[in-house]
Amino acid sequence: MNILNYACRGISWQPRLRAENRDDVLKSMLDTLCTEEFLSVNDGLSKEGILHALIEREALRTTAVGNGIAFPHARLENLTRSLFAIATLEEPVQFGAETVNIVCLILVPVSDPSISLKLMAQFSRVLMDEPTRAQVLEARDSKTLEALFTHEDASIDKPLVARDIMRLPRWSVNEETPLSECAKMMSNYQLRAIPVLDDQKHIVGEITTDLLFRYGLPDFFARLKSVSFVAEFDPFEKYFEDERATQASSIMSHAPRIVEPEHTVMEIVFDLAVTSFNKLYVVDHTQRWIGTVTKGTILDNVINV
Amino acid sequence: MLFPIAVFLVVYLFIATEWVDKTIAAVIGGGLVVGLHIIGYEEALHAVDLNVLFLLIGMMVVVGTLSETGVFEWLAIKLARAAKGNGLRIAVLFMVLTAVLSAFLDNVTTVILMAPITILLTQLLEIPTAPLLIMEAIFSNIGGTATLVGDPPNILIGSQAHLSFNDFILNLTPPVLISMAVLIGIMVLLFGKRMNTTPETRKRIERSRPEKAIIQPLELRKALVVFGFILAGFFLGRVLNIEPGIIALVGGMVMVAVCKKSLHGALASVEWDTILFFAGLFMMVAALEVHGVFTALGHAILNACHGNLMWTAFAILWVSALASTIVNNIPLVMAMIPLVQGIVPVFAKQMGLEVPAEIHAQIAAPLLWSLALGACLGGNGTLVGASANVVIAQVANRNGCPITFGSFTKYGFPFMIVSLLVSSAYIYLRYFM
Repeated sequence: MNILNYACRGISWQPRLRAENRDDVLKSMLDTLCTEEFLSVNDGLSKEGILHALIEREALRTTAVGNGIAFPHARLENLTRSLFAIATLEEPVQFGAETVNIVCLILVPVSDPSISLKLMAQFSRVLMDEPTRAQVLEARDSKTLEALFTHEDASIDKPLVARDIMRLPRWSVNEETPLSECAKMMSNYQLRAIPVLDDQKHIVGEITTDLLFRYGLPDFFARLKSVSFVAEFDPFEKYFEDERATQASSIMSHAPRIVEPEHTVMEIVFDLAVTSFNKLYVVDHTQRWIGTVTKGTILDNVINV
Repeated sequence: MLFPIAVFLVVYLFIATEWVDKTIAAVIGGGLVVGLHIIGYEEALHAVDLNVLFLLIGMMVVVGTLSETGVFEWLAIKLARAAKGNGLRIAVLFMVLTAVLSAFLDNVTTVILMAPITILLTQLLEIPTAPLLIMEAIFSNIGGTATLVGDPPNILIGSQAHLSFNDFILNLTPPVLISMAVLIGIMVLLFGKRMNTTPETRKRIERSRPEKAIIQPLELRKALVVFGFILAGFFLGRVLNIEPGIIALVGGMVMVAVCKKSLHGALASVEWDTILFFAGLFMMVAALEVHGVFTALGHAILNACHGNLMWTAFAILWVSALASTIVNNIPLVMAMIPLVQGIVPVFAKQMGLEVPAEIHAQIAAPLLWSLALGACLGGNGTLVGASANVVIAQVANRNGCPITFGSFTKYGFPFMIVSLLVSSAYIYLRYFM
């Protein structure tokens, strides 16, 4: 299947859109996409209803994925056929904390959720390439925009791989980062694991909440069957004594799960669910960190589309 | 005769130096004596004393199940409260508890159970941790000497020399109790003021809630009933003509069933490496025995002691103790048992004894008890003398209160000498007066 099967000629490609904010972007895109014909074929759907569904999904967690790209999407009861629209923005808008200037809006029927992921994957592949992304932003008419997304293999039947669903690199520390800073970062952004990088952006280790706990708690504590019999004891005493002096390198695990961009979703699910890795770190051929896949990513992209 | 000795010594070198894991070394050693046809496979299999292995497995399951209930934390915190947070009193009570537990449980298990709660209490009371942990290892080795099930050398001696649980209590508990009393006295003198606590730290113990330590009250009650039956079985073993191995193994299984535990989980608390270590050693020692090595050694010892039984007993006590300070006492005892058994007939002939009961009472018993006392108490001599010492040092080092070879030996060696002096006096008074 080609992505063009899910596009509406002309109106799916919306370059240089002007909008004030996120909801305004979504509304404008829907105004163009939901023609009289669309609404008559999809009986029971309304622009307002679709907009509501999109905003509701954004409220759960932003669909922005970094690099100025967002994938607002919705599963709709009465939709007969999946479709998408891609807009570039004259002025970027905020999707939650993320600044976005390329919006790939996807609507799928409840009965066929997997299409949405395949479309997202295909768009990601195109937009991953920086020069192409710049060209997309420069496109002045719908034909040029369409050509950029379809000039190469635009089929969506490829198996999903890490590259398609990964989140771009965000939080990391280096080997010299004090533990106090690692803990603060993990606490602020509710992270279960952060990678430790060297100067070349190679991943040399990982700090997890489990490791922080194990480091902070005295060893004998873990050997007791219970501790409820003592009324007062500060198990983190040792931790607070030297959290500033201790560096990430001294407690990091040396075996973070590093995968190639071509790691399939099946392998990813196995790594995360069966072998219980917190995160998978995707690296390119030079071993540089280019993205992360977590259980949350899987929930967002594969299960909860 | 030289070939099996060479194999044994090479394997022993690996065990002593820990170049490879001792279990792997022993199992390969067992394989070598069979593979090189030093001993027939049937004979080797026959030498593996299942009574010993069953006893070890059974008791490991029992302790695993009991410890899950939180009963050991409860015992410790109860004692700390009974001592009203007084550091020295807690130290004394903890040593008694360690010795008593260790008399019925494996020494390593005892210190693994006692160490974490001891560290917690010393931190609450702000008293030094390392000396107390060292004392715990020492008292676990002493307590373990008192009964058949307390320490692997005793399990071996009991099984191989057909001595009952009660024989051990009657013959070994008295010197152990006397040694304990003397050593506790010395400990009190040594520690004195270092164990002082403040009213504030004592309050922390007052505010503890021992009842919260029991996390599986129902399982605990059931497990204790079964444990009672197992102990009764040990005491009545000779009357009922049932060996302790089968009592412990069946008791362990009954405990798992009655407490509705998963067998898989219960078997996970069995240290299978120890079991295989024993199996490998049994085969190696059998090879030496078959080739008459022990008979020859027995004669050598006899000559050295000029045929004097008492000196032989003392020699066994002190030599096995000093050897145990450096080498693992399990292979040592396993090799010493056939040696002692080889000496017995020579003495019997010399003393003109023919009735087996008399031979046992007058010759075998004093020698075997000397061996048991020496091998078990010798473990206190250095840090590497007993597994309990090594384990407690590991736990201590991981908790920021390092125990080194030197710091352990500083207490361990004099304590061992004192307990050996007590034992020597006991052996003299009891068997040779």
